[in-house]
This record gives sequence, C-alpha cells and structure tokens, in this order.
Amino acid sequence: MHGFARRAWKGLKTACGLLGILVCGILVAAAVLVWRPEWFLTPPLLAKLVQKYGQPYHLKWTELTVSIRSKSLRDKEISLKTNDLCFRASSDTLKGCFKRIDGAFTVELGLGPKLADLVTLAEVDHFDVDGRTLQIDNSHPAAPPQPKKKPRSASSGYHDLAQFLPDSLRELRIREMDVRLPKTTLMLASTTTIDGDLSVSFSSAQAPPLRLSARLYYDTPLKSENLDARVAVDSDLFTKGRLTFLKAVGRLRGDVGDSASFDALLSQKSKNETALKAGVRVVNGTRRLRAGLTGTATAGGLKGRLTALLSDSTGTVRELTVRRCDIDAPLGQNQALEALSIDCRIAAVPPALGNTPGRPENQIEARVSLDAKMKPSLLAGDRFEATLAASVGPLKQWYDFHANLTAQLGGRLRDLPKSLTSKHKIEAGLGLAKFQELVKLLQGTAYAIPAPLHVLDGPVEVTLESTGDTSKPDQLFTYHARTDLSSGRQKVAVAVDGKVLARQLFAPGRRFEDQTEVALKNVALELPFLKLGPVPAVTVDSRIRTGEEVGATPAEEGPDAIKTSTPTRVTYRAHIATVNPIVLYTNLNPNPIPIALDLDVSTAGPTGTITVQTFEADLFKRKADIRYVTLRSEPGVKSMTIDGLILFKMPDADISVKLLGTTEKPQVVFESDPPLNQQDIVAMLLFGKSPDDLDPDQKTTASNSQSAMASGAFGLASLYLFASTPIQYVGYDPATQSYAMKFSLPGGASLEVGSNSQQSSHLTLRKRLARHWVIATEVQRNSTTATNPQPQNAVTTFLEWFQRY
Amino acid sequence: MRGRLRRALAWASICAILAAPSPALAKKKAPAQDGKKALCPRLTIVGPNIDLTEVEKRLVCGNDQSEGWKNVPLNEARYFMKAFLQRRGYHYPRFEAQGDLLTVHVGTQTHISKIVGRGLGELYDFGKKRLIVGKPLTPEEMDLLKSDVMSRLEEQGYACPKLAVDGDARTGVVTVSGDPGVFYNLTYIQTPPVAGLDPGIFNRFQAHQYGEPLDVRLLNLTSERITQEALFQSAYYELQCSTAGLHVAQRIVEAKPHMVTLDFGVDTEGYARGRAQWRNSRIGYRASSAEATLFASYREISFDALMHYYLRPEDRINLEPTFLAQRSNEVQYETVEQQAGVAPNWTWDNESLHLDVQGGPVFEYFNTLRGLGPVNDTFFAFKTKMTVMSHMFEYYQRDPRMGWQLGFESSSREAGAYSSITAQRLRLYSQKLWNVGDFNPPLFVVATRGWAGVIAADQTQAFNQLPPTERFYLGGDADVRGAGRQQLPGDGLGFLTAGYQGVELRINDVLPYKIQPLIFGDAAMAGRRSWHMDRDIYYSPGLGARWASPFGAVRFTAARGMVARASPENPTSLPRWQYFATFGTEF
Repeated sequence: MHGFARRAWKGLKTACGLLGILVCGILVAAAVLVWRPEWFLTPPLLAKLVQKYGQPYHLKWTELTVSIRSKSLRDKEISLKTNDLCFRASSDTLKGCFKRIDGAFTVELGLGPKLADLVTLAEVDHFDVDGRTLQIDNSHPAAPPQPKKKPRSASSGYHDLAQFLPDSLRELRIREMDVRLPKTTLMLASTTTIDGDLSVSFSSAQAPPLRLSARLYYDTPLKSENLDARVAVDSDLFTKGRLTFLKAVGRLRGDVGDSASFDALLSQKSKNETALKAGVRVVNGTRRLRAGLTGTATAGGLKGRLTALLSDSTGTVRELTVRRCDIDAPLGQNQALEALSIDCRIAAVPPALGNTPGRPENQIEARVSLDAKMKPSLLAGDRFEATLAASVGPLKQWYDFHANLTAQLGGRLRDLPKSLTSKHKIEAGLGLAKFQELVKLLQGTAYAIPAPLHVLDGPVEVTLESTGDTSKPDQLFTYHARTDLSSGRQKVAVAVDGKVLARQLFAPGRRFEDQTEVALKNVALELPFLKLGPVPAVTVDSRIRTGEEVGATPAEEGPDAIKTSTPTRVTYRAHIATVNPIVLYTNLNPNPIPIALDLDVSTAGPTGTITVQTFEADLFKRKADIRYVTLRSEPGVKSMTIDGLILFKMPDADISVKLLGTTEKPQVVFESDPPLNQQDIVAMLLFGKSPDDLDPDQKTTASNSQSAMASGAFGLASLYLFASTPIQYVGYDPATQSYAMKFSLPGGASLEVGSNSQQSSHLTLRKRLARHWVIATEVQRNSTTATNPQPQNAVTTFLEWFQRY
Repeated sequence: MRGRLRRALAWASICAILAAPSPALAKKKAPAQDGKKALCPRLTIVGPNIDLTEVEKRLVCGNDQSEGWKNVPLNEARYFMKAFLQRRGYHYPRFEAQGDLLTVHVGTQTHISKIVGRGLGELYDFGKKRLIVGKPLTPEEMDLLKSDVMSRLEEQGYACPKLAVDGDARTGVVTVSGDPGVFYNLTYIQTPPVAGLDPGIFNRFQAHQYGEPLDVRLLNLTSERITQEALFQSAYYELQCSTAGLHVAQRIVEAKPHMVTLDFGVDTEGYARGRAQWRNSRIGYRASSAEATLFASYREISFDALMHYYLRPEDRINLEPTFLAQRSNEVQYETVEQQAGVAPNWTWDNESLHLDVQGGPVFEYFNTLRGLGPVNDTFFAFKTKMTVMSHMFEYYQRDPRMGWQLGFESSSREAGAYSSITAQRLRLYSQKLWNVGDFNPPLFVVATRGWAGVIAADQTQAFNQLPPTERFYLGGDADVRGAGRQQLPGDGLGFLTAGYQGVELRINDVLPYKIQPLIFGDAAMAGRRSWHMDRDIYYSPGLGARWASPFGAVRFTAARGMVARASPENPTSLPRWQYFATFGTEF
C-alpha cells in the first residue's frame, strides 16, 4: 500500500515537474517570440503564410520579402517588399498588378482580448506602391447589405473632434507614403467606366502632407470626358497625432468645360465647440451651382446655415436661390438628437419669365420649414414627429400665385425610410383678374395666347389641391379652372374640374390617370377670314418629318438606342360638353353657326359628337334651313361619320339633302316631296329647273355634281363651296375620282378649283370650252376611207358646237 | 408657196425645240435671287419669292375686319407660315422675332431624292417611277404619288388597297407603305335600269370580262366606248370598298337621243376642215343608231350616212347599211364616187383584245375627173374588213405607249357580176408600241407600223378600170414621210403591189413644255404589177417633235425622202426634204 502510494506520489511529482518545465519552456518561447519574433517568423515562413491566407485572391509574385525586426520589446518593424505582385479576386470584381511595393511599418505590441489590441499600427515609415494595373468591377449587383452595426455613440459629443478619430489611428504616425496606380479601371455599370491614373502621396515634411491626384477618363453612352482631380488634405493629425483641424481643398476639371471645386475646414474652436465651414462650386454645361455651409457643434447641439445658388441659362427654371437655410438640432443627454428645426427661404425665377428681354425679373419666393421632435419615450427611443411646411406667395407680382404644403411626418430614425409616415396637404392656385395681363406677359414668347383668344379679357382662376397619406403609392390631385372672358362678340366662359390619380408616384413605373370635366358655358368665337376657293392648309402636314418632332420616333434611333429613363405613362379622359352651344362667326355666312359638343377625349382618341345646330344659310342661291349636321367619332376610327339634314323649300317640291358617309368621303343623298330622282333634285337645286328644261351643259353639270357627291369625291370644304357659290360647271373624272368646279364670283370673275389627282392617263374625249362648245377628240374607227386609204391610228380633233334634243 | 410656208413653219418649230432649255438644265439653273420682301408691315420674307393667297396673307398678317383676327400673335403667324411654306416644299424656315416684327428666312427647298416602297412587293416598281425625284417635297406631290400607286394597284386586281405616304425632309426620301389588300376577280357589276332600253345593250361595249382579275382600265375603256357612241352623256364605273368587300356599280347619265354637231378643224394635209353631223343613238329598245355626216376640206367633200341596226339587244352582231357620196381632190387625181352597201358587223372581246369583223356587198358609182381611172363607172363589189387590237392599244389610243393592232381588208370584184373587171384588193396592216423600260410615265416609246397590199388583176385593166382610190400610193404622214401625200409613184398611176414598214422612237419629258422629240425611219417597196415588187426602195429617215396639247397631239416631222436601187424609169421626185405638221394624228 505504502509502495503504491509512494510510487504514485513520485509519479505525481515527476508529472508536475515535467508540466512545470513545459510551462516554463512555453513562457520562455513566448518571451523570446515577443522579444525576437524574427527568429521564428522568418521571411520564407511569412511568404508561405501570405500565400496560404491570400488564396482567395490568387496571389502571384516574382519576389516577396516580408521581414520583421525588433526595435524594442514592444516595437517591431515589419518590412514588405514585392516585385510584380498580381492578384485576382475569385469573383473577378477586383484584379490588378503592382510593379513594386515597398513598405516599412512599425507595430506596437500590447495586451487585450482582441487581435487589434495585441498588435497596433504605430508608424508608417514609408509605403511606396508603384502600380501597373488595377481594375475594379462594380457593375455587378451588389451583395445584400449586411445588417448595420450599432452606430458609434457620440458619448463625448459632436463638439470634440477627437472622438471622430478611430482608436487605431490615434497614435499612428506616417512619415512617407507614395502610391501610384497608373492604369486603374473602375467599372460602375456595364456601359460606364472610369479609367484613370491615380496617385496618393504623403510626406510629413511637406504642407499639406496628403495629396491625392487623378487623371480620369469618364465614359458613358451619353457623355465622355477627361477629368483632372486634385485634393489636398492638411491636419495636425498627421504631425502631432491629434485632431484639432482638418482642412481639405479640391478641384475637378473636365476638358469640355465642366469643373467643380470645394474647400472645407473642420476645426476645434474650443474644448466645447467644433466649427465647420465648407463651400462648393460646380459648373456643368449651362448650369452653375455655388453653395456654402457653416455650422457649429457644441455640447448643446448642432447649428448650421446653408446658402446656395443654382442657375441655368437655358433651363426652364433659370435661377433657384437658397437664400438662407437655418438648421438647429439641440442635443440632449448622451448627445442624442432631441429635435430638428430647418427653416429655408428659397427664391426662383419661374419658367418663361426669365428670358424675356426688357422685362424685369419676377421671382417667386418660397419658405420651407421642418420642425421635428424626438420622442425618446416611445419604442426604442428614436421615434420622431415632424411638421414640414412649404409656402409660396400669394405673389402680387405674379397673379396671386400661391402654394402651400404641409406634411405631418413621423417614424423611427433607425428604420428610415421604411418607418416614415406622412400626411400631406397641398393647395396651390393662380388667379388672374385681367386675362389681358397674361396675354401681354406671354406676348412674344413661345407660349403666347393664340388668336382669336388673345383679345379676350376677364378673370381666370386655377386651383390645385391634394390631401392624403404621402406614404401611400397612389396620390390624388384635384384641380379646378374657371374663365369668364369676353371681348366684343367673342366670349369664353368655361369651367374645368378634374382629378389626377398618380399611381406608384414614387416608383420608376409611375403613371398618371386624369379625368376632366370641361363645361363650355358660353363660348362665341370668330373664325378667320375665308374666301371661296381652295382652303389653305393651316396645319403642318405630319407626314413630312423634319427631325424636329418632339420625341422623335424611337424606331429611327435603332435597336441599340439608350433608354435614359423609364417613360411615364399618362392616360387621360376628358369630357367636353357645351352648356350653351358654341357660336362661331364667319365672313362666309351672315348668321352665326351654333355648335354643340359632347366629346370624350381620351388617350385612345376622341369619341362623341359635334353637332352643328339649326341655322339659316344661303345655299344654292336660296335660303336653306340647316337642321343639323352631326359629326360622330368612334374609338379607333380616324375619320368621323356624318349625319346631316338640310331642308329647302322650293315652289315645286320640298327637298331634303342628307349628308352621310365620313369626313374623308362625305356622301350626299337627295330626297324630295313629291319624290324626284337624285339627278332631278340636283338639277332643281343648282338651276331651279327640272332636267328636261336644262341645256346640255347644265345637265352635264347636274349629273357630274350628283356623281361626285354620291361617290364622295367632294371634301366637306368643297361641298360647302359647291353649295354656297353659283356653279358654272362641274366636271368629274370617275377614273381618278377627281372633279373640277367652275364658279361665278361677284364681279363677273370665275374661279376654277379641283381635287388633287393624277392626270388621267388618257385624254378626255370632250373638253368643255363654253356652253355648247367643246374641243372633241375622237378616234377614227373607219381608218381606210377613200380619202384616207392608208391605215393610221388617227385621232382627230375638232372645235365643236353641239346641241342635243 | 404652200410648200414654202409649211417648210418654214416646220423648221421654225424644230429650231424652237432645239433652242429650248431642257428640264435637266432648268433644274440646275441658278436659284431665284434671294430677296427681302415685306409681306405686310409686321412680316418680312427673306429668300425666294413666296406668293401667298389672300386667305393665307390675312392669316399671317391679320384681318382688319375681324376683332379676333386683327392682330395675329407672332408665334401663331409663325406656325401658319410654317404650314404654308411646307405646302411649297420649304421645311426648314427660320424665324426672327424683333418686337412685333417677324422675319421669315424661307430657307432652301427640299426636293424628293428617292422613293421607297414597303409592303407592296412586286406590284409597283418604284425604280420605274419618273418625274417625281427632283420635285419639291410637298404634300401635294405625295398625294399624286399615292394616287398613282393606287391606280396601278387597281389595274392589277387590288381594288381596295390601304396606302400611307410619308416623307423625310432631311433626306428627301418619300416612303410609300401599304397593304394591297384582297385580290379581286370581277364577278358582278350593278347596272342601273335605263327606261326604254334593254339592259343587254351594255354587252356590246364591254371590254372587261367576268371572272378575270379586276382592271380599272378595262372598266374605263368600256365607259369610253359607251360615251363615244353618244349613247349616254356620261358613263363610268364606281369601285366602292367596304368591310363587305368590293362593290362595282355602273353609273350612267342619260342624254337626249338626238345630237347635232358642227365641227371645225385644221391640218396641213386637208387644211381647214368642217363637219356637220346628225346622230340618233337610241333607236328602239335595242339602241340601234343612225348618223349622217357632211364633211368638207380642201381635199374632200363628202356626205356619209350609216346605221347600226341591232337584231338583238344583247348581241354584238348588227347590220350596217351605208351610203357615201364623195368628191376627192388629191394631188394625183380628182374623183367623184357614191357607195351604197349593207354589211353585217360583229365585235368580240376577251380579257386582252378586241375583234371587229364586217363584210358585205357594196354598189358603187365612180367617175374620174382627173387622172387615170374609170369614167362614169358603176359596179358591184364585196368588201370585208377585220381588225384585232389589244385593249391597251385602244385604251392609250390618245396617248400611245403600248399595245398592238392587226388588220386585214379586202375588196373583190368579179367580171360579169355587175363589174367590168375581175380584181381582188387585199391589204394587211399592223402597228405595235413598246414602253421601253416600262417607266412610269414612259420615257422611251418605240412604235413600229407597216402594211402590205396587193391588187390581183390584169395590169392594164387595173390601171384603166379600177378607181385610183383603190390603187396604192405612197407618201404622206401615214407612211413614207419623206414624200408628199400620195406622191409616189411620181406619175400618179399608183401601184398594184406595195409594202411599207416604219419605226419611230419618241422620248418623253426631256424637253420643256411637254414637247417630245422623235426620230423615225420609213421604208417601202412597190410594184406596178400584181404580186410583184420593183427593185426601188423608198426610204426616209427623219426627226420631229410631238406636243401633247390638252386638245390632242400636235406633231411636226422633217424627213429626207430617198430612193435606193432606183431604176432609171422611176419618175419619182426623190430625193427631197418633206415636212409635215399634223393635229390629232398619231404615229
């Protein structure tokens, strides 16, 4: 028993001894590793470690030397030298080659639970990178964002600059650094790349010590430009290891005139106050931006002021000025944001008013304010409520234009914009006591009021409203307009009420649905001067393209055309109806023409009716009772159908003229009481006689007229011309469905008009010269008479007088 | 004296043609001097002169008599002006506004550079379309092009095409796109009832055929035949397209049946011509016709009466009794004759040609006042005539460009059958035209014509007892254009055998004012015996011009008449220059 206990005791002593020796050995080895790490971490071993742990980047080099040298027990110097180092990330999003990397760093060993606590970068003695190529492909879809880490709490306050400095950099000293990347490619999207020559240099002996420069070539399908960028950064951080000021100055210049520059100074004014002063100037084509920001951060909160001036000499808004935008954000305990107040005063030169020579600029001034308060007692303490208000006018100098926006906002700061709630109310309006003021204002501009409306005067009012939950994708806007204009015998009293439903307003595929009711209460207008004869074309024929069309045909741009934005779909439906008929005055008819409308105009085209109501006119040299002419438009059909009835009371018969067919091919049907055939009715209308009493010319004219009207060869304008002018003669060529009309004009003159048509390929048989007189061309059928014994294709021509009986 | 006058006129015409600038040169002439013209106090036009109508002018300058349109805003005037200039081929005007003054820089005129077709396949060859490239790009020109394409499609069975024409002012390219639609065979035509007439009468004029592809030219040809007979005042066919398809309807305008005409004309062969005619085109429900014509010219005075008596309304067979009394005064002879005869006449059409056959006995009195021929002779003869012509030849007879014609005629006399001589007169004639290159409208039209005739009779009797109008003469605008009218042979006796062939090339639209230059060559041989040609070859190269006036073709020709292999006994006056000016007569 004792023997066993002795042996056990002896074994235990031996084991403890061995364990003690092992512990001592480990401690000694650790001490030696700390004291002289270069004894263990030899350059070959370090190169193998780099190879192993750099596997995901497929590292290759021709020479790699990593060495460690102990400067003291805590300070170790790590030297890195490589030649022709190339790397490529597995995802191919990052690859590059460096000709040479030469660096020397001093790290300081410490104690702590983390690796960062054990080894801290204390000094960069020098770091030279001589790059060859570097390509960063950022065009692929980004990986889903990682959950955000809890933001660092500003426990020491925003007024202390030092707190913004990472711990690892607090004691870092950099002596020399020189990084040159001559061929760097950054792919932002599949069609957008930035190629450049980048260099970063740092020298503690220079001022400012940090300089960044880049020569870039920016290439997109829409724009290519060479850019030259330079940034210089100065701070006592680089020399004294503490941060009391940070100053940065930079500029960016393009070879097509674009440029940008900025300067910013962040300084520690006192122990409890940090100040920021920054300015930026941008020139981009015709656009200019100049903005400044000043602010202070104290223990009590943040205060700032923003000013900006955006101008565009060719844009619709020529100038937008942020005259003063004050920001006040008081901080509470633990420097948490308690409230936010923003009050901005903005001025803008509205469209079309800024570029009128000789007219003083009219500015629209607006005020935008935000008043937000945190509700730390609710939820996670980041709940806020805010009121956003923006108002414009009423502007006496711009037609009482006014606009007011108020929005009640709420949400959680850490979950924006998802948690944002908003209820808004928008109200805007424009009132014109005298329409002539607007006429004069727009006179000479591209938006001038057209004739005959430009002589009207009276009040015009327009209002727009919207109320609802802003966070919803669909928003509803309602609008109203009223006019009560008049001048002489012209009047335009119209009421417009409508609503626009904006669907998915805040998404790229947004679309607008409009519904409008237009009530034409009292409209009377003068038509332009017209004369019997061909009607001039007052509209540009859209069949001829000039390349100036709005939204030029995408088909012409080819399949590779770049779509720069998602098109916004707009659908509309307007119901236009007359409360009282529209009255049209024309010099062609002594009586005004009343017209009633009942139209639905939508994206698919107009539908509905236009009805010319009863009025008297002189047609066919006698009084005609135009009962109605209704033009009806059907969906998807270009031309309108006609339904018209005109009555004539003649001594021998009552004649009804029915207009049928379409506006492109109107057809005329004649009826009478007692019944007569079509040709007889035309003869009676044209000449006041029955066909039996007509001479051959008149009979030909009557028959040709009836044929042309039946086949729709006359257009609507020609029909009116035909009916309202004494006819001398109507010729009709059925082969080409073309006609020629000769009219008697006041004063004895005559006018001949005809439809456009190809000349008939064969000559007419009989060309009328005057009544009973024609030029007759006829083929000689009996080509071998005694006097013409030789066969010949003989077409003889005679001046002929004829009489039928 | 007359010859000198004709020669001077012909040379003057040719010189005028040659001196006139060509359209191509006209196109390249210096543009109109750019100028500055105040259209009205507020609107100035800079550039070529633009003539606005009064309505257009009031739209851009304002109308003092209307309050609403007294002062048209400048931007509105500018829009109107843009539309008016577009109608004139100016698509890029530039506007300068200074206060209330608007200056319009008209800019340059855009001309059509090319025509492109889409969706029409082989139905329309845009490469053959002429006289549009180079013209100002205007809506009117586009409408004309559309109308032409529409007509060509309607000629090929596509009666209801859908066409759209648009133009690109940047390039001058005009695009015609469309859908030819359904291909139609002509199956039914709605014919209106005509009081007092059998509807079957329309069959005798019918050029179109049921069951064949629709061709509007054949419908128009039918209409022309109807109106030429003066049966109706107007006749035409309407094509009505709807969702139900094509509907063809005949439209006619009735006329009073009797017609009296007095006609006056001129030409260089007959000089002044006068004609008085009475016609009744609707005798009975079968619409038989009768006419009497009195004609007078320097060469001829005649009275002609004939009738077409239809046995059945729907039949094309009719009896044609005729009577003719005539006095002729030709260079070679002067004669008086009277004819009375009756002959059945039959016509027939298929989808491409028209046949006309007639033949019958003729009783004739003939007296030769001057020249070699019978004196106070009466005889009986049997005459036949057959003509075949393509529809296109007939359709374009007034503007010849394509088609063909072939004819044969005979006149037989038998001694003992109320005739003192046995003689057979036979003649074959033909004509054909080509539109070379199938251009539209034609650029080169080549035409050839010819005839061959023989009188089979005893030679001595034929010259003594056959009327000189039966014998063959050469010369004149109808055959050898290098010789005067019927001047060959020079002794005035005529030929018993003769043959002629001529060819002509006419070029359209290379000279201004629609004057068409032409070159031609004629050649003929003839003999004094039956079935025998002498060795002399008469030929005449020449040149001339044709002017397609609105009233008919005016032609001038100058040809050099010559004889090859001339026999010493040939009494001809050739070689010589011969000039003709004709009105109405074609090749």
